Amino acid sequence: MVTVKLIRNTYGGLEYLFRACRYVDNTERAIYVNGFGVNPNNWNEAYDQMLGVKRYYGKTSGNPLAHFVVSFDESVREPWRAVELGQQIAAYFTPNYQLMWCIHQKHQGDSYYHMHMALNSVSYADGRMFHCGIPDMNSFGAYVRQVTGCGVWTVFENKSG
Amino acid sequence: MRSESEKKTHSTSVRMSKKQYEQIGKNASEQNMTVSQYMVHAAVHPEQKLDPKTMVKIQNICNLAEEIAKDGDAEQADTIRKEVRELWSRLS
Repeated sequence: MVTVKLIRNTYGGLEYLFRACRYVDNTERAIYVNGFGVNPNNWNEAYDQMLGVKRYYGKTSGNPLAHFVVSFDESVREPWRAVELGQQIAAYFTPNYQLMWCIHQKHQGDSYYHMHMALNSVSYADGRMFHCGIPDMNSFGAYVRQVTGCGVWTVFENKSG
Repeated sequence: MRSESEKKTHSTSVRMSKKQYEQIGKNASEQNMTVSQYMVHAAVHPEQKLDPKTMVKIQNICNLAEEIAKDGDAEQADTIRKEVRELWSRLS
């Protein structure tokens, strides 16, 4: 089973976005880093680019990002396969959102690889705020199922200060 | 929670011709916005040539160019980055 977790974090505001970009871009932890609509090689720039879109639409407050963690199941044993799946999964959101994502190699339970994906909560396409309720999460889960060929378990994690 | 400065606390009404109304509605629909959103957006960004959609495209081209250049001319890759960085600064 693939686990898709959405961390909806309001604690720290833009500071959390800053830390999330830094975390995803940390090449000491990640075996692969990539991004869409941001510079994936410089987390400082990536943060500025996401903030630039927020400022353009006048939406710098509220939830700054959506943080997804996708844990692949034991069928994913090779780093190239995790990266390949990561590309496809990230593509679900790129028509509307800037994002940074990375692959971590860590044996946790039945999973050897997992993906972190940090989405700007403001769409670059039309300025709408990211919203992911249960139906949206189910749609994304169905897409991940299609991409991975595995069953998917979806989880919401709400953190607040 | 939205900050006080970003809350929509003001409203106004605008008179226009039927033709203008239809044109604004069409423009708004093309950009996937409501008429209100479109009118505020157009007024707040009157001479904006760059928008986020264009910047995202440029950034992705830059990312690709850097991938291609990094095994060759690092200086060229750096030049591309600087040019794109300058464009981003014009967005807000």
